[in-house]
Amino acid sequence: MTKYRIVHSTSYQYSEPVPVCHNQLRLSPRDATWTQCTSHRLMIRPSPESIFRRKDWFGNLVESFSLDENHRKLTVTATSRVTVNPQTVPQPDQTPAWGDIATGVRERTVDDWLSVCEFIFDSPVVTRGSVFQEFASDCFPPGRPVLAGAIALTSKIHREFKYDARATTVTTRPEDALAARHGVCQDFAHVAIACLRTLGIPARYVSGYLRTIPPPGKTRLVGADASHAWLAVWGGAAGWIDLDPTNDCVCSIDHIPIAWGRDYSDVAPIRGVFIGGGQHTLSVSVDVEPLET
Amino acid sequence: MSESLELVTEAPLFAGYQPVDGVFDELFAPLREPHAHCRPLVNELNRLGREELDQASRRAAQLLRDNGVTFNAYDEHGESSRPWQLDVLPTMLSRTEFQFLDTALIQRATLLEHVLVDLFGEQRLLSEKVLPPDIVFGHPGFHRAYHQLQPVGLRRLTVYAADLARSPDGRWWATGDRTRAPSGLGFVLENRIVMSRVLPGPFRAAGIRRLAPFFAQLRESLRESAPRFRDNPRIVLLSRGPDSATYFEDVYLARYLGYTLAEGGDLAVREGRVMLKTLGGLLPIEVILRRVSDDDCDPVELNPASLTGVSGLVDVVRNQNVVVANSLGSRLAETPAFVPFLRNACRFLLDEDLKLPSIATWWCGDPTALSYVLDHLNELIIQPAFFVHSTLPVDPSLMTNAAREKLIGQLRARPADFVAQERIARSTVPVWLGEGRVEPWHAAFRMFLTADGDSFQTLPGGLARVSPDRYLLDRSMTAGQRAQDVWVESDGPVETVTLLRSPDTPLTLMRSGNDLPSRDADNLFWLGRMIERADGAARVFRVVLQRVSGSEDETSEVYRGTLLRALAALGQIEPGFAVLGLQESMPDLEHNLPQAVFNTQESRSLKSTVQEVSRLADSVRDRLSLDAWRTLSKLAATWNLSGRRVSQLDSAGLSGLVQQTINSVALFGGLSNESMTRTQVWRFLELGRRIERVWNTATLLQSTLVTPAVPEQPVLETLLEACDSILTYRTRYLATLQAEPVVDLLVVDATNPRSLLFQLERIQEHVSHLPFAAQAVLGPDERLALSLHNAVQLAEPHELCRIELDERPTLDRLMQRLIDQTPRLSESISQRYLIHAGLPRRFGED
Repeated sequence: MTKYRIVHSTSYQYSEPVPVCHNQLRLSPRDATWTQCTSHRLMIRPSPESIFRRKDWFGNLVESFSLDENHRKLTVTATSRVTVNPQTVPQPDQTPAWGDIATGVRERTVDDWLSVCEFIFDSPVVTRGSVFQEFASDCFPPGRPVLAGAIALTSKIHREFKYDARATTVTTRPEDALAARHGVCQDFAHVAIACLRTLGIPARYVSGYLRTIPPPGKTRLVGADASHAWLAVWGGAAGWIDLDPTNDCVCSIDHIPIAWGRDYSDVAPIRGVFIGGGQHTLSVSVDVEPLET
Repeated sequence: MSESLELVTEAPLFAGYQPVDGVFDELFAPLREPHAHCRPLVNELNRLGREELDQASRRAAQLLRDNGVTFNAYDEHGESSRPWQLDVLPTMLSRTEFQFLDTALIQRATLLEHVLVDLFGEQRLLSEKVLPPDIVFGHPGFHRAYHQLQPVGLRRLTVYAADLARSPDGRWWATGDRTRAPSGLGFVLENRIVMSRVLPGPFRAAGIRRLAPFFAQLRESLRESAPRFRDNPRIVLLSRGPDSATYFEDVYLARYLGYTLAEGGDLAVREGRVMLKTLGGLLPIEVILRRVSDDDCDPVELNPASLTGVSGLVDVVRNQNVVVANSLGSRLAETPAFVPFLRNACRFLLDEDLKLPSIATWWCGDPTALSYVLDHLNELIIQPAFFVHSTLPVDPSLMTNAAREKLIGQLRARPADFVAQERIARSTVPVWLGEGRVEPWHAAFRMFLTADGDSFQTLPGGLARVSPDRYLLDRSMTAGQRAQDVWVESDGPVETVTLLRSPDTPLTLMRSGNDLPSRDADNLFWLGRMIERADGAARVFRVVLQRVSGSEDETSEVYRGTLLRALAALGQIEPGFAVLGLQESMPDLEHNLPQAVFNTQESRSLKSTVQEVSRLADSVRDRLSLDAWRTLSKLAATWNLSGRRVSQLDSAGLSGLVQQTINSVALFGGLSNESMTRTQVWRFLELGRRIERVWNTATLLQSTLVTPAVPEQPVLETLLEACDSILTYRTRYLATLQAEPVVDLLVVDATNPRSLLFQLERIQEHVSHLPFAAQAVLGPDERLALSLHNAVQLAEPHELCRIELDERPTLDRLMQRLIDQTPRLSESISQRYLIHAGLPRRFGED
């Protein structure tokens, strides 16, 4: 069992005053099979009169607030404590054949088809297409267990794609990232999801944190962590299995999910609209601190 | 009623009418006998005769033009609007037919209401496999935010419209549903008003049902849905704005229903409520009747690129602090891909058979359906599966082979994105083409329903779109070339209900207050300024044109130079024009003046100003009387017409145009003076005019009098004419023209409505009556108005006219001060009352 304290701080600075803004936050780590959020605290400056909390369609916690007074700076700091238990990842070869999953969901015959079927369709960012089929086909020969195929796919992305933070933006589409073979965690996850969905396999997008382990002999740098993204594939009776193409691994104790949905647009950590403001600059810092091991 | 027994087999009016073989005709049964319920109408039309009908037809066109009824053929595609064309013959529906439609449409509306309740709630339609998940979860318009957004029990559909067609056997078919913000109700109203005016006889003789009770019910439904203040909730009609295709209708309906017309920028979410930004501050809104598409209603939670919505609206709906009608997400029910599944959904949800069948429709996401569609492609029309008319339906039978192959490729690649629909041999109606020509045109019908308690109420009327092309209407209901009013035979004596209000409900006496939206106030203020600017320029042009075409005399050159300087100072002609040697420029004047007047590159040119007047008048159309709006819109039309042949326009033609501008402004001024209540609407219009007139008059005086012309009399005379004060002057001083009495009359004489002091007195009064005025400390606008007023009041005509080194320095200083300070006054009023916060922006997501 590992406990973490996570501080995620976002701040906007404006050259002109902003009289009004409306925001929605998805910053609270969510409980998963291997994680549990034991406390979550939000600090907003200037502080809003009220923060409205609800669960969205996917079960993520959404916190929304408005500011009606002139401000030149907005800071949102989420401090959370999370307990992580090592999970037993199913044996890839023990999962059902990917074709059976795809057929079962499409024909609405497998258990749970209703809850997973929305993750096989197009979503705002991810559109299925033949390019994804071509890219993924060698990972999914007929009859291959779904998790084995998905691991092969994420490995292939890890192998063939260049990690380049400057090459893409939050609005880059997976087909473009695929064509250029580069991007960041968000792009890798989108590409993997697009491939899986094109084959008819349910796949969802997960945003969260990654514990980074400092190189031997170095101390941990506070605030140098970042929010991260990966995907989960549906393995039939095995449920959802989280895979990280950026680090070529099946997610375990180092991954702490915040929210999941069909793609990035469902889980953006801060969504908002403001008026005025002139030029604005953004700074984000994330710190994942292990409390005890 | 006894006429209905007469036989009219030899109907002279319809003698040449040849219904199309094999299709149903709405007026004539086989053997060219009118249907029984149409006989009184046909008799009455015959009695009128062909010439009367031609005349009625012309009058109808005139009325629609006068009322500015415009219409957009493909309303989702932003094509430019064109005049609404109404056929002078109505379509009659019999009592029994309407009874059937009423029952069937209520069932259909109820079904769609239940479909929405289910999809945004339990989703049994999915779990029980009535609908395939592809068309719900794969629907790009199924925003997850719509799920459980509003409490169970609150209506999803307040207004519903069905598009209908009638097949050769006389059966009705639904060709489409409209559940988002159905358009057409405004046109139905306008059609009915026009028809009752141009054909009063047939209108009475036909014995038809009235429309007003339906609209009363619509208002009632909206009122009842309010989360609070149910006795008199504040309701707005949320429009997409003047650029949207339905703006005419938005204005019309808002006014008819008595709601404030608002755009996204007029509303704001504050303290968990939706507020209307008004001059007096923020007023909470209870109900929004929306004309904005579901996904565009809130950039925070829905489409982030939307500029027509209200940031934060979804959260307010979620917290039940406002009601949006139709509910957010209601668009889902009109999804074309749902149509093949409605029959089963009706059995499943209502345990009834669907009474009004949909035209045969195949959703290509089903492999069996796809193969049928590919085999019968030329008999079908293909359209997008999810959004009505996101692109127009296509007709494969009319395509080239290459285009058809491309379509087949798309169908195979993304079958779930398409539906195919059968074509129908639509019924015909007689259409009056004039001079005795009556032809059968095909018809598409739109019928409307509104929520009524737990059920719905059907409008006993409707909109028919007609076209001679039998396939055109399959592509879009709105594609037809003309409209017809749909009349429904009455059950008994026609009840007279007026929407206005039930006469026995006691009303609270009230005065219009400060609930004028800031944007409207802003537009009115600028409308006032632009009207005055047009008037001021037109008056100077009139004087100039008189002198140019008038007889030459030795002094004419002097005042021509001065007048050109005045025109340049007013921004009407290029300054270079005025300083050129007179001899050189004069020959060009006749040619160059029209060019300058029509130069729309120049924002202050007279034509630009008139165009701006017309644009502003359109944007505050719901605040002006029809007469007032019409005056300005006609003026703009005249200018546009003359603008087409500027090169041929001589000074006489230009004089006519200038004169018409002065007349129109005078007419508008008279209408606003005599007929506008003294609300903030009037006050902002007035403020705009007064402020502009100060600037205008000061500019004229400075450019003509500061450097005295020699001799000065002709200049003084033209100045008095341009300022419309010559009559007063002559009454007082007869023919003797001197600078001092002229300056007295135009600057400090508070009894002259054209003088500067008069304007400043009015301005001061207006600003002191604005909502935030009269507080302990004067606002910047009030202070500025007061100081300008005092400066002019204290000015002394003799001193103003004092000449020093060939100039009048005191006059120059005072005029310069007015010229400099009036824009500041305008700005300070804007800042205090009119400016609102600008466009919403999104966070650069991290």
